[in-house]
Amino acid sequence: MTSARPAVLIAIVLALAVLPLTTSNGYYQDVIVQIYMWAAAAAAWNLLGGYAGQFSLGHAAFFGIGAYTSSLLFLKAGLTPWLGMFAGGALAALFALVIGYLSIRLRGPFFTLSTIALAEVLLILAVHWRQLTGGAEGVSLPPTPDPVNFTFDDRRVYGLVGLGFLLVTMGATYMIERSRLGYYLVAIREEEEAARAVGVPVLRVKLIAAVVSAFLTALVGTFYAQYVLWIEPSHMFSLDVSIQLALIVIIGGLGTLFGPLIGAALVIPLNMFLRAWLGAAVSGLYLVVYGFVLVLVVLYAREGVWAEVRRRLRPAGPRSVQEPA
Amino acid sequence: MIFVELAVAGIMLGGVYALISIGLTLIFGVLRVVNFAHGEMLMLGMFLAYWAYTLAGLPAWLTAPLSIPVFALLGWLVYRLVVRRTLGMGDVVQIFATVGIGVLLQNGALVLWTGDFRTVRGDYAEALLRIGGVQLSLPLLVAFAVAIVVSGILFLLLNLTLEGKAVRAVAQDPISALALAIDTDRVYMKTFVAGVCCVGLAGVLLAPNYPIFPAIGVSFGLVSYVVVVLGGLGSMVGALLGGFIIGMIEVVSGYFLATALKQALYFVIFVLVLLVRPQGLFGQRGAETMGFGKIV
Repeated sequence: MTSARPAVLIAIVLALAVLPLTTSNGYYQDVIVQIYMWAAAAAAWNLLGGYAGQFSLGHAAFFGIGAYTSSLLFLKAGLTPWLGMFAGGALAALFALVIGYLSIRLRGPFFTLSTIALAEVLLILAVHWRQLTGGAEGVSLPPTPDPVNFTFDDRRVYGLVGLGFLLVTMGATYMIERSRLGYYLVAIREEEEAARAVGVPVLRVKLIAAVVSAFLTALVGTFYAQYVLWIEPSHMFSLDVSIQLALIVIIGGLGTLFGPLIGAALVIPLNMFLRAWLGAAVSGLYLVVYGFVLVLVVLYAREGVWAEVRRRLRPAGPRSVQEPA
Repeated sequence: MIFVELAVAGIMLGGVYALISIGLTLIFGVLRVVNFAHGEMLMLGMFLAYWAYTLAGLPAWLTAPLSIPVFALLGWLVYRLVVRRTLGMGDVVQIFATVGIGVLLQNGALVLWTGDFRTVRGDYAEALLRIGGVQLSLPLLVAFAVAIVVSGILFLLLNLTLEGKAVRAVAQDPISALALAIDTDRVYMKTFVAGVCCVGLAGVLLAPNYPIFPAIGVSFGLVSYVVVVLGGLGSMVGALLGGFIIGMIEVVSGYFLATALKQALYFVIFVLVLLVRPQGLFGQRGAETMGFGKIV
């Protein structure tokens, strides 16, 4: 589906880069930063979920590992999060390799279940291992702006840095999409047995996707920590975070380059609007909307909202062939 | 003496876990759908018992039979509106449709009833029995007995009635069942409703023994998945035995380990089962990858 020309891509990147600079309103800046951040994490999820068809609901584990590793390295060893994030990414990748080796042979919902369990275990360990993680109260990072240590006083800078993270994950997606690996992934998603029969090294390819996806998710986890400057286990490792990543990609379009960005541009403003509008009194309501939207989209717009809108807009043209489930 | 108490507690807890897991394994065995909203339906059962007690003074044992029509309606609605449309679809539809329902139910409960911890009190909830020097909670004993009775009834229904035969036929091969003029859609609907009723009943009966809050379904849901994977996907006998094994392990390890770590233990068991015997104790080989099995 994605065959965007380089000129179009450059124009889109420039527009995204200018966007945070166009407003001086802190709230809108926050919305933009969060869209870029969640789109970046969702794009990382998309590599495993969208392209390889392995639906993880445990990606909060990698997000949390990234955030905790860089933050703890900074607080306890003084290492700048710019470098610490690679340590977090490496740790998450290692984790994905070990856990993936055990669980990636499971298919469909059983793989998903094992990923939920994994994130739950990390949540418990993060709460329990107080000396290291600060337990349930979480970890605060010093709020003093210091670019060397990945903290800025201007949200517009966060917007640009967030865009950088988005470009890295989308760039990785772009390269994988066009590589042999990308074709292997799609082959596994569409028909695993057939892929195996024609010689695709299924286990190895799935593991590579899991490791790259985990690494990139952890990098965005560090960005989250540096942006919010406070992390706690019950949010970082929560099922809600994992579901949000999946929801963004499913709404935007699974296994597409721009799906995560489109999904984030729809989901994040909705989330923030509902939270601001309804306030803390009904804190769960945006998640009620998430659940409702998730059910509707998987039942009625499986290729994502964007593909569905385009189909509706040209009813006369040849309809894209509905793939058999 | 302490070991007798631990053994009794383990068996009781196992019965509870079995009761929670029966519905999950039944639905999976016939519809080949993993109900990701399972824990949230259990949570609704607990809240039903809470409100029945708080508003009308009904003890949980009396709420239990009344809960069946409520959960039959819920199961019917969820089947008609969502699950039916996901049958035979790809993983993304099957997984995220029930994940979405789970998110909806859990946060709907949060909006309606806040995240506060609630407890059911009263004579029945606090009743203790003494059998041979071992103290037992009466509601847990009732939940245990109901688990045995419900799985017995399901076993008899599936094996002795024509309808049960139809359910087993659909579980084994839906296409051939359809060719034999079995209304598979009705079988799926009835099975789903039965599974939801089982988990709702479990929630009501367990309400006196656990704190009640919207997110409690997550950890119980996780336990029931571990139980079902251990027992063998889609196997009723496996769910019972898996429940007892996990219950025993939890009680014994709780005696030696910090309680917070018990969920980490579930995951270790989960991974060990998948490594050593991925089909579970009573599942057929390959069920975890292919989704085939038999239900009794």
